[in-house]
Amino acid sequence: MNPESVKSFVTYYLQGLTERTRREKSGAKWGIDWVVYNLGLAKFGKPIRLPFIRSGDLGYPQSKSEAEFGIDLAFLSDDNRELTIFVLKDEPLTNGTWTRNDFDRDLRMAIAPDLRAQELSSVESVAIVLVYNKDDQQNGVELFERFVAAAPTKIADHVRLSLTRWNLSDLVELTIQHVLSPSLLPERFFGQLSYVSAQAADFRHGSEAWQTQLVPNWRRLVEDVLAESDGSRGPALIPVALIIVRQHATSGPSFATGWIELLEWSAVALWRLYIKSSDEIVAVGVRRFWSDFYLAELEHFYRTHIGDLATEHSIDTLPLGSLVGTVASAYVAHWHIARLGLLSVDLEDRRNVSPRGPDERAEKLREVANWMAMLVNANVSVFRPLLDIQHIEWFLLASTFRNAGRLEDLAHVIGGLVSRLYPRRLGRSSLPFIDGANSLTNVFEQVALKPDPPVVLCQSSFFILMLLELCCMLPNDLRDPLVALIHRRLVLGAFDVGDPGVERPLDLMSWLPPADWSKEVLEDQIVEGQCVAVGAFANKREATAKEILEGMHRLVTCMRAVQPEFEHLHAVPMAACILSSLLHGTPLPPELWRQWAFPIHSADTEMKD
Amino acid sequence: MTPEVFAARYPHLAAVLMAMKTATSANFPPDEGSRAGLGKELVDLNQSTESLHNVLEGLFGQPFRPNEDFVHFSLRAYDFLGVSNDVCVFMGRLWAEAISACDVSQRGAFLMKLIEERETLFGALDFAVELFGRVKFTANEVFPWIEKAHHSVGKDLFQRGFWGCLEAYCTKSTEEAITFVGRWLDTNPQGPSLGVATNMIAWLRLAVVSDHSLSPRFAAIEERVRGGGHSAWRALYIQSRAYGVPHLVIGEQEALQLRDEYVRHGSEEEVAWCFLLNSVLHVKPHEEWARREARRISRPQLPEPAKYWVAVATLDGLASCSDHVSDHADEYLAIFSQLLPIGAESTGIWEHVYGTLKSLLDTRTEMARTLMKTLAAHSGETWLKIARDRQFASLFHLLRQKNLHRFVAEDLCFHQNVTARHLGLVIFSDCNVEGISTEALNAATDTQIELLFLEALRRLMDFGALARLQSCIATRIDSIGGDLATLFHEECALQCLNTYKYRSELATCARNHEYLPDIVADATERLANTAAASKSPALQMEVPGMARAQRMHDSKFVREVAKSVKEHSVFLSSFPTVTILYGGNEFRTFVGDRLMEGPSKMHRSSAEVEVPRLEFVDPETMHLRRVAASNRIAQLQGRDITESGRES
Repeated sequence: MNPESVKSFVTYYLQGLTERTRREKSGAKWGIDWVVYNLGLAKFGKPIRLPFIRSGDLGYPQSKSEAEFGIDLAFLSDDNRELTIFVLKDEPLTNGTWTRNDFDRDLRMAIAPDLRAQELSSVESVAIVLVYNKDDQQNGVELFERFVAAAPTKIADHVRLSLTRWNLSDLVELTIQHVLSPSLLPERFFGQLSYVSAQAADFRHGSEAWQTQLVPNWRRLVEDVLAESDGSRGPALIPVALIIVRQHATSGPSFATGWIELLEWSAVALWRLYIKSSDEIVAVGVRRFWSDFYLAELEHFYRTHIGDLATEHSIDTLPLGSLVGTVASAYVAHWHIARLGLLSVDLEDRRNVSPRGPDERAEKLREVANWMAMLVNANVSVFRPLLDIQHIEWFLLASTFRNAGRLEDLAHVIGGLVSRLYPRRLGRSSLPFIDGANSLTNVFEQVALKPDPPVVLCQSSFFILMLLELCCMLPNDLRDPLVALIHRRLVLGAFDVGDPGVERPLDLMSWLPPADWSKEVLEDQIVEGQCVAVGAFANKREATAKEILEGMHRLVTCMRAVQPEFEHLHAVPMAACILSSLLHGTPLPPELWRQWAFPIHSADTEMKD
Repeated sequence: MTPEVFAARYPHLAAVLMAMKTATSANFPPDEGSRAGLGKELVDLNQSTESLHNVLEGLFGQPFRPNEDFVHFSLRAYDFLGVSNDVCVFMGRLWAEAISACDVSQRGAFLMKLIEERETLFGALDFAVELFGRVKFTANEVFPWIEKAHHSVGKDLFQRGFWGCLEAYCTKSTEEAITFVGRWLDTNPQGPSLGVATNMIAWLRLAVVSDHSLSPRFAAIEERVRGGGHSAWRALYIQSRAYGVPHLVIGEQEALQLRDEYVRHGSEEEVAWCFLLNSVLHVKPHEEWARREARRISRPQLPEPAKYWVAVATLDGLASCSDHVSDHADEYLAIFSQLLPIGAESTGIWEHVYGTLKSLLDTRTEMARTLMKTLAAHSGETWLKIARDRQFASLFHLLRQKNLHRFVAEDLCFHQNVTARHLGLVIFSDCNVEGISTEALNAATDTQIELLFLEALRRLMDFGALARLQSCIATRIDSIGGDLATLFHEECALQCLNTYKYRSELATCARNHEYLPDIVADATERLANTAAASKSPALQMEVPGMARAQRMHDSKFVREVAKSVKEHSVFLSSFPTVTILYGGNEFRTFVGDRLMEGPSKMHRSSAEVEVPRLEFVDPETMHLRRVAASNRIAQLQGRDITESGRES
């Protein structure tokens, strides 16, 4: 993550804060007082005056009702010689606010502190710092400069007095420099974020501890932050929290991908907030996070690491010595396919919130497709889907090639996949075939122990039906042989020549998602919707592509009759919904690819020749 | 006390006999001189005809009766006198002397006492051979004895003494033996009990030659067996015709009559017939018809015991052939090949095959090579199985010792038969063949070269051997060019990525080749790039559930390896396994009532095997390449037949 991005998101967070942290009925207000308090601790010694009582109810500081005499916070240096006084404002410094918002009044009171207290007897200098987390105007600055010029330089003849101001940029810089840690967040979240940061540094991404402890803890933290914030503060705090976690865990060898996963859970939570909130400022914050944080980070990640990923067998070679490693490398390969695919889908999405022009977007699409092709060419694990749910990754792969106009490459890749799945379909491989009922745990157990009877199934698949349907967006000369091949080899499990064999035909499965899929998919794994048992499109090995295509068209027509129009909540990017599907293990609506393979205007009338 | 005269003539023997009488534990003369003296005295005594009655009376008092003490005394003979035929003869003489002191009622009881104890049974049977050769017994006397003795040793591998007793009984008490066989048949013997009748009939046939008066009674027994309506009895009869001195061997006419009358496919008579052929095959002048009959009956479906006898006969024939009668060798080989394939479970036949091969490797290597080619072509699958199970591994050692491994490998590697080629690769690999000779390479057709390359491609073999093989055929393949050369170079590159062993061996063997060194260098560089890239932060994630699965896999792997080691280790299978709970560095053993002194150090043994990398990195590609190679082989085999026809 580059420093400019960090600065940008810290700025975004700080400028959204109020002057004081307090809990209100409408939600918690997070103030710069907490930030300055932590800065003071880091730079200026011990606090002698605070605007709140620490450790108040529910993790929020309790505001003091006493008169403050213009002084919000004061810190005494460790040698008791320097006193630093902060005057906080959450307004811009302008000509209008100088008096209206009491800049002038508070500063006048602040320059005359009471130094009679015993602990201040050694003070030799007093520094007054005006802190405001908004922008300023020249007139406001001029007023401040004049005030400084007119102010006394000493207090009681022996104590030096100085005045200075921190505008938003200064505050951001100092924050990044000194308090980019869990203490930057409101006290309420300090413990949670510290815990998550420590776990992120300790746990290996993907390990059991990561899955069962860190991810739930992070999701809880994000939920809590979003639930307790109002306006843009929640969406603004999440990236800062992520930056803090990253700062703690960046030395972990597996955190590069772990960071992406934390971003993804955050993105899904933010889109969920987006749907629920009517506040435009929230929408802006969510969209900003999605495009400028998550997608930017994803793109940066692949720009940095594509050289490694495109090195021959770099993913395939991960763990050696058993088929457990073979399965694991396939999982990792599909993880990367999915993320590259999301980049492409988002670029192609017309509702994309990023302000890229058509040419730039096309160029980007080609670049992402190149990355995908490089990864596919270098790693055979790509051709080893193990679970039916990995149809999501393969849809994203197909989308990436399609979006870049590389349909021939797509046909070639699907052909390669069919060849490699074929021995598995026939049971001639130690790796199991795809089945909707198999889980990663089952597959691992199967290859590790080879139990008899096997713990995996080879009976039904949504993936294979999707593969057949994906072929339908290819030109006819590429489509027909592939459709016949997939049906013969993978659906029927028949030998190409001679005796057709005794394999039971695969039960092809499809799915009618619930009407509010776009919304539901952001919540959790979807259990609603209707399963459609399709079976095989023909029972003989010699079935032609035409026969199979007719069957597929009939299926699509019938399913569209039941669910006439697939509704997508347009405001949420499709890539975000697919990302949520990936994270929650929810199948994709077939219409996502059918819109290309069986366009509405022609599917109901007649199939392509 | 032994008589003084006896003790004077045979001092060592007299001393030992006294010790046998009195001592509680065995005291076989420990020094070489005493053992030599004792042996000489036994030989001298057995050559004399003097009575041993005085010796018995001297040892056991007068009047001598063969009581319990005497039986106990005599059954300790092996312990005190050592194990030799002379001891058996001496003890048999003592028993014959003893039994002469018995009345009729005591003889049977004495005989039974001799075989009462299981521990001394085999010694008793050894000694009794001489007894039955010296004393006539009635059928009534010996029937229960033979029944009990047969029951005791019938399932044992060592039956020499028992059969020796029966043979001696048939020779000495021929008439009573005929009666005995009749009674034995009355009991309707089954299984191994039939062997008693078989053998006795065979020995009686020899005995009646010298006593024609018994011929009618013997003929009646023969007739009863042949016409009894039992397949097993007819087989018994045929088998009994296998024994005999050369001039009594069954003649061709009689044999063919037997065959026509009794032998049917798959019957017990067929097994007996093969047994008969085996015994006759090497007896002149009968060998001609016996060979002819063996050829006639040989077929792959021959029942297992029958196949065994024909295989033994032909392999022995092959082993006995000298070069100048090699036409018979061809005939034997032809008969043997008709029997193939031999099942992997036919251990007896395989033992004989390996024995013959070893013998031929010493004397006639060409014939050994021919036999191996025949075996590989017709029984390759089972031979492969046996080779994989590491049975008879000594043959491969012998091949290497005799420096014939390369020739045999070449014979088989360029063989037309698929399994023969596979076996060739196994021999190439297991015998560490350095390479294929230029002559063999030049003599091979392009198709043979391609077939060999494809066969190696689709088999899992030692990777060092694969590198040696491929480096040998590289130049030929380059000259063939086209798709084959492309595939070959691809395969070399792939295998370079697969194992270090292949890479290093190829770098050594093919250092002068035009392309292969570059392929090795390129692969090394690619592997280095992969290793560097796989350290990328983008690839350090752990897959959920992988750690648990790897633990399960490793535990299973360790269990299977331990089980396999125990199965294949004579040492480990002989001793109980003790699981050590505490103290893993040293051990002591508790024996009786004390700890063995001084702790023993634990020893660790381990073995390393290089895992072929691509079998896990890219199992699908490896599988598909093998399938493609198999398809191409099938295509070439079809074409090969046509080509062979045209070339011939």
